[in-house]
Amino acid sequence: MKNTLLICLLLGLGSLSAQDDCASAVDVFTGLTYVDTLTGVQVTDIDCLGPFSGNESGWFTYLATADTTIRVATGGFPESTGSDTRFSVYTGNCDSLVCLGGDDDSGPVYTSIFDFEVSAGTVYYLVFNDRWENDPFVINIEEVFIPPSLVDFTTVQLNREGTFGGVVDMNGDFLDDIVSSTSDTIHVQYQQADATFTEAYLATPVADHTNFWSLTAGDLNGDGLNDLIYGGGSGTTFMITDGNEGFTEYSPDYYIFCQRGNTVDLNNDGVLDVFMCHDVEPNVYFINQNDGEFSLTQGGIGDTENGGNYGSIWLDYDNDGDQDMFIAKCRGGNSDARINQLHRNNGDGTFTEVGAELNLADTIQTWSAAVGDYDNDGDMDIFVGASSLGNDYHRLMRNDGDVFTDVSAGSGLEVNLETSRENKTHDFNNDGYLDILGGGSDIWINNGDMTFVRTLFAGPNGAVGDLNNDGFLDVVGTGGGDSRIYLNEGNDNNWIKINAIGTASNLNGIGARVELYTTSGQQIRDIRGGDGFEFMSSLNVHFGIGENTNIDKLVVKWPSGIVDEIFPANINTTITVIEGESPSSISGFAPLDVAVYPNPAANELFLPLELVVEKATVDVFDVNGRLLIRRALTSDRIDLNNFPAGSYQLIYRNGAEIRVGKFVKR
Amino acid sequence: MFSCASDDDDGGGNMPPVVEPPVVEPPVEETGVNVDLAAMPFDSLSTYRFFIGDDLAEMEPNERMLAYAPISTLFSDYAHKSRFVWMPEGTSASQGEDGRILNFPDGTVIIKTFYFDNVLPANERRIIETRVLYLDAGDWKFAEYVWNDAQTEATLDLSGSTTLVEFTNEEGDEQTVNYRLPAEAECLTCHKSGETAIPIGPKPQNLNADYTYPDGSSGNQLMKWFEAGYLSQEPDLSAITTVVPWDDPVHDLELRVRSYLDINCAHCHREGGHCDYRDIRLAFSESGDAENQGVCVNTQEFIDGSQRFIISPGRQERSAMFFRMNAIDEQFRMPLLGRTVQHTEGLELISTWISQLAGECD
Repeated sequence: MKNTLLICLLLGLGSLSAQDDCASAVDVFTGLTYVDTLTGVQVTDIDCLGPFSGNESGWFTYLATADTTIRVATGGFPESTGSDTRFSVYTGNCDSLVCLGGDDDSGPVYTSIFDFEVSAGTVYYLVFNDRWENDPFVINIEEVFIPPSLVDFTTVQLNREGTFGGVVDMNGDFLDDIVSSTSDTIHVQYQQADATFTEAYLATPVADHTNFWSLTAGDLNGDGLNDLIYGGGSGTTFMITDGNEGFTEYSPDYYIFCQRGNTVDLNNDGVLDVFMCHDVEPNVYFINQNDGEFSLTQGGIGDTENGGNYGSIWLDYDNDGDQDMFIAKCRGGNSDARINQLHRNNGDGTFTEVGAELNLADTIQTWSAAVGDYDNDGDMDIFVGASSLGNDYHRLMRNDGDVFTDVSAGSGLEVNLETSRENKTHDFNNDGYLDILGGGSDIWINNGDMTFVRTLFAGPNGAVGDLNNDGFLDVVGTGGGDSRIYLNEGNDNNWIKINAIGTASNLNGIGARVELYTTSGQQIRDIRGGDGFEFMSSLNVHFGIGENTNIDKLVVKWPSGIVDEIFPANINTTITVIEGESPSSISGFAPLDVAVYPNPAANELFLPLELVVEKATVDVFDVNGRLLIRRALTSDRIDLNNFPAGSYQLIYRNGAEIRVGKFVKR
Repeated sequence: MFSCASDDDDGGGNMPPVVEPPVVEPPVEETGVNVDLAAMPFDSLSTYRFFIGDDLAEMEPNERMLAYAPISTLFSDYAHKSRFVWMPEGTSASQGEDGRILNFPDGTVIIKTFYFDNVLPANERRIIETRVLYLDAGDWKFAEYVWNDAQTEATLDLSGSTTLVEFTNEEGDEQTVNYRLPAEAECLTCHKSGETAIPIGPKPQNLNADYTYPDGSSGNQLMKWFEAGYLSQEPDLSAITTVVPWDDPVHDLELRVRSYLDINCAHCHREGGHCDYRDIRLAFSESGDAENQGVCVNTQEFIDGSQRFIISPGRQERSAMFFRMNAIDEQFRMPLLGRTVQHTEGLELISTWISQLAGECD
């Protein structure tokens, strides 16, 4: 109370210069602090919550006297004025402030509440600003007990150029990068081995259509680099890498109100095709001619005359080895266009819509569905996330083989009254059960028994990948304004990641089914080129394995029919699986050899000159299966200067022609 | 030469007996509007003969082409519009609810032309497109005509395209619009109820006001429709709940806002609209209710955490409606179709209205 009075007294004397900047920050203590209008200097780059247009600020310091958790609030207590506040919390010192967090609206109405752990003896800077208004407010600081969160994220502001699009590898090193784009630039933040990023602004031809509605990635031309598919409101543009940092554009002159796009090998010819949801007409797909051209077909996979197609997601629901597709659909006006569909792959390039017979033809207004094996019983279940609760609620549909059963009741998901257009599933706490990011902007942690509990994510839904290669999945979220990186703080659970390299199948391995066996049982993933609604998430496979310390077996069932069985020696690491290359590969597929020379090699290695043809690519892996280089083969010479001494494996690829070689560098 | 001589012989020389030549009726030149539902849509706009005179671009209306304008108009990237209605001889529309389109007879054609004035470099008029909506056996059908550069003809094209328009706007500033000409499915997205195509503008609530006609005369539009034989019964003007021109500050602010929302938003945001699964109802007949307007109604999509309500009274920047009307990128902006640039004046109207709303959302 004494401290509160002191602040009041200072304000009463009109002594507003205190709290006006970091150096004159006013000490605050547990209890109430009354603050008049803000008059301090504002430094625009210090708001931990993102860019804003405020002018004035107020600076306070709090010295922690114990290791505990405190709550700083401007609402939720009787003395609150209810003013619309916003504040950031920093550690460090005035010369070097470090963002800890902050809050805008977590309290009643537009007041703020932020809970954070403090260490005895550390000074915390509380900086309020007038982003919304500049009215008197009251700060209440109290010690609180917060039950441990099921998954925690550290927030980092993301600088981006253009529309944020995805978290996906853009340079062939299998580390997830951050991709945004404008009509003539792709802004990539390349993840480095030390979890930092290097930026590049890659010039592109001026795109007819930009990724306002969706971004999809996949290696369409097999040059080892992922290409991008922009989904725009009146058409699509493919930005195809030239094997370096340049791009060529493919923009069909065809009206498509693009929604979710997917890369998928529709005709199973070993190269990726592109599927695009059409909002207001039948869906469109593009068969890759593997010569830079694509043949466009409208109709055949979702033929509702007026569309309603929002979130296509490819899955092998009947475990027959080919890719089926669920479409999350939406439409006003009591239209049948809102009824969800499942298109069963007949295995001959045709599809049959079987939503009704599978009990999936519901009327939920949905923009995306999160598909995964939530109960680890070996088949894909579907969470249909409502975008509006007007027609129906979120539904959790359990795959029972020949029918999906609505198991929403009692799942914990059915009580959720929040909605979102993004819904996707990943194991965020690495406990071996798939969680749901969606149904609002929170994460729903899977308890392992088809029940879920909400954990606050407090950020916009976005793209998912591993942005610091620590085996815990991170999120890049973006809303109407700023974008942020949410780095998963992790826990003690174990994990494994798989980088899949297709040989007979498409290079990304999209469409492959990955099965993981541990003492806890089986988990499965389908490698997907595009999930959720708007963003592109990592193409790498991630499994949390909880407290398991070893993996009994890993099985990869490739779209080609090749099956690889791998017995990983280590956990908490990333392994590379090359199609057909495991010792126990059940394939009937025997890649040809390639005689590289000299062997052993010194600083350069040569391939037979006749293999140097257009579109040929070469990958080099180390003994651990780590991909070191992947590039278009433009000459018969490979520079080995940067390679440490050791044994290496090389894959040469020219369309369906796959050759494998081995060499030693001295 | 030979034939000339021969002609001369025929014309001169001895007088043959006078034979009255048979009276050959010159082919009657069709002059009225050409509406042949079985043959429509025509490939060229001129085939309809909506306009007379040598210069199609003058858009001089043919007989029985009746110009009209809604009281409150849709924003279309600052394009100007001219609108006409035509009905077959001896047919007329009947009037239903104030907020519903008139019950039009088969063969009705609605012709709407979009153009810009002061288009650079020569500060000339450029006509972009003419949209033709016609009622064929109970079904409304779309035909989209794209004007050529010479401004002499417009050609049927329902595939959709964009065209760059650089013009001097009313403030005297140069402005650029990447103008979108709709594909057929884009027409339907706005012009429908359920999945049934309909017009949007010609409702009693939108026509019940004076209008100055191309010939200089002026009068109430509904009365004019009646006098022209286009309305079957004399309208009771005073009984019609009528919108106000959203841009006329003489009128009540909320009425202006509701009139703006009706013509710009309600084709999707009403029962039966493309987006009726969202919680707002913005048709003039429904928007008198604060909840229908979106006041303190939670948003269904996370924007960036700052806009939890569609309208937060007194707080425009906290209001999703303001955010979406302010946005340009198509995944955020509203209206989604028909606009690629900000409508500054409309945004100002909504902003002013939100700022003077009182109360606090829970």
